[in-house]
Amino acid sequence: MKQSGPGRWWFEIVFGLVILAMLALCVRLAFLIRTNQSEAIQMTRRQQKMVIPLPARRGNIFAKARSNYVLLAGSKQIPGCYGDPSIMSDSQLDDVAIKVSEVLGIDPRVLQDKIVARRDKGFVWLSKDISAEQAQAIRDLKLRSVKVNHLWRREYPNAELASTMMGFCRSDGVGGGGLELSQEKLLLASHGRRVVRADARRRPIWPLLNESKLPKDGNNIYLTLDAVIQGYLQDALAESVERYEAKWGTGIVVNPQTGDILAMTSFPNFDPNEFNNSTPSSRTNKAICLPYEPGSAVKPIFAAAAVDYGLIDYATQVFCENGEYRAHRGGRITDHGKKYGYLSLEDVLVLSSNIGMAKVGELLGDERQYEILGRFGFGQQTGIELPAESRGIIRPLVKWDGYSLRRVPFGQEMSATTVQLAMAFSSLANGGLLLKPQLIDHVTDSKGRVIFQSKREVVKRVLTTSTAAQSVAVLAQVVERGTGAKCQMEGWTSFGKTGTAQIPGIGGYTEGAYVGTFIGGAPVNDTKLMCIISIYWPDRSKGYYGSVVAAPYVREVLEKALTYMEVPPDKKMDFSLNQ
Amino acid sequence: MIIALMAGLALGLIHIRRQEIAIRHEIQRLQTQQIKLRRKLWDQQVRYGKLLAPAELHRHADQHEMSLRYEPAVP
Repeated sequence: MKQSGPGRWWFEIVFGLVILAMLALCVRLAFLIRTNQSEAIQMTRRQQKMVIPLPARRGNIFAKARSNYVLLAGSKQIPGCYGDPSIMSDSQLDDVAIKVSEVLGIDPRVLQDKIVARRDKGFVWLSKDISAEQAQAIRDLKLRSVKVNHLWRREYPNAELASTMMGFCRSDGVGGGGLELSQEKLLLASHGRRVVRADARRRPIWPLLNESKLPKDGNNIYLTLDAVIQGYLQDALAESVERYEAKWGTGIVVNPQTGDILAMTSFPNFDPNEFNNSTPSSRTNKAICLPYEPGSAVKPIFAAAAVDYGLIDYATQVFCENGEYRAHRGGRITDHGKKYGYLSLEDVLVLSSNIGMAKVGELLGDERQYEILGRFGFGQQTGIELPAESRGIIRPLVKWDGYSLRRVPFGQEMSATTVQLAMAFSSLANGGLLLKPQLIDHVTDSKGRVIFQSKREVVKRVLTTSTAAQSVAVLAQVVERGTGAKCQMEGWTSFGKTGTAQIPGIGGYTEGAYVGTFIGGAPVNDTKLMCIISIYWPDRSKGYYGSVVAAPYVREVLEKALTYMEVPPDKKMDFSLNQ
Repeated sequence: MIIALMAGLALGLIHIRRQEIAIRHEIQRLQTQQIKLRRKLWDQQVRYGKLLAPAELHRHADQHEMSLRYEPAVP
């Protein structure tokens, strides 16, 4: 049969050319694969894959308030509007600025300036805080160069409440101080991602589930802190600092039986919502970071330790040198104009005699005093869950001299932080146990499961139960008839100790500079609360003694807190009508 | 017979593939919705926290002339 169409030779030429073209393409393909393989694969992956971030929230921080919890720190996402100046032509600029400004309520010239300032860049924030309605309106404009994105914002609904303890969160979402910094690992969220295969117009067409990751929110921290007691302490501290025109003040309320910190503050403080407007000093948690000489406030610690050693008891008479003591290589010690002869150790504390305590120091000796300081936690971190805790300052034993021997027992030549003092005094109130301060009560994961529950941690026994009980009874006398009289309460028995220390400067103590401290607890028999307030460098003309600048405010805090906690009054009261 | 079987198999595969695509898209849609709901929840939590802040409660109480201030337990 005769073939129709082109002849065999023609067909073979076309077929041969096609084969040659295919071979050439194969060679070119092989060449491309060999030379640009990795680059091409990367390019393909970039074009085809789209990664959509799935945000996870940083953990919240809560404080107690009666039987509930109140939010101290929480995170939320807020919509923001951004532009891409690089894909915005000059002719579009006016139009885009006008349309967007109508939605955002901003002057279009301001928007234009923002875009022009970053003309060659691919991103510029037009507004970082817009409402959900504005965000939707921006989306509805369907502008290629203007989009909506979400930003994280850390909110502190209680503003200044416990701010120095809690710290703040930086704008990049990382803790910048306080609990926010120290508990970063617990609070940190693990962001997820959704990976999808996209078409040429970046529309998702095929989710890649294996490469996607679910978001995991940070853990929530529930503090031992009580928002109401914290409020009482902050109000009292602010009032004292302002009234006595002090440089700063610190305060702590602690449950001496468990070591739970119920309130902790320093003043001046700051609003963590606007931490950029605050000074570093106002952000410092001075209750744990700044040690100071406690003065007479440590006398009960040394007296109790001396009694515990069996060197002396509270009834032993101590000769107080009629108001002036010049010991060999010990300098001159006075009782601030008071001329005491023989005083019992109890009265040495009640009347706060420096000479009496210098004599106790001589009885104890350097080594025992150094051991006592270490035993009660001075010169060491308490281990509280906060950053930058100071150890305080205890000089090495080899540097002690006749001055140290007689001055350390009344709180000179050593420095302690407020939290160290609070925990040392708590050991007197709880029967002689030094406890670790607890700030975190429990931690839950994002599903509400408890992953950590704190419990009382005994560091060590520092006193026998009997010595601790005797010490509290003596401190009750300090309030009853001594320097702590301004801490007497109507309904509850209380105990405590004042402290007034000079502030060291260059080459000696600074003239007219004092720290006034009072640490007190109530009720005497079953102490529920200990409160310490220290006022640093008040105006001398307005008052500087611990009994003046701190004791009345400790009483105020204790009275309010005991009422709030519904602790039954333990003082015998006269309810007779014929008054 | 073989052709018919292969055609049936092909139709079945296409059906499964379509179902898979639909399910994956549904997952995607639900995840997007989840993000929006979580965002709303976080916002509500913070708002709730603000309303329950002691200072805010005192402000509201004062506005309604109700005393929430401390009163001594002991007369």
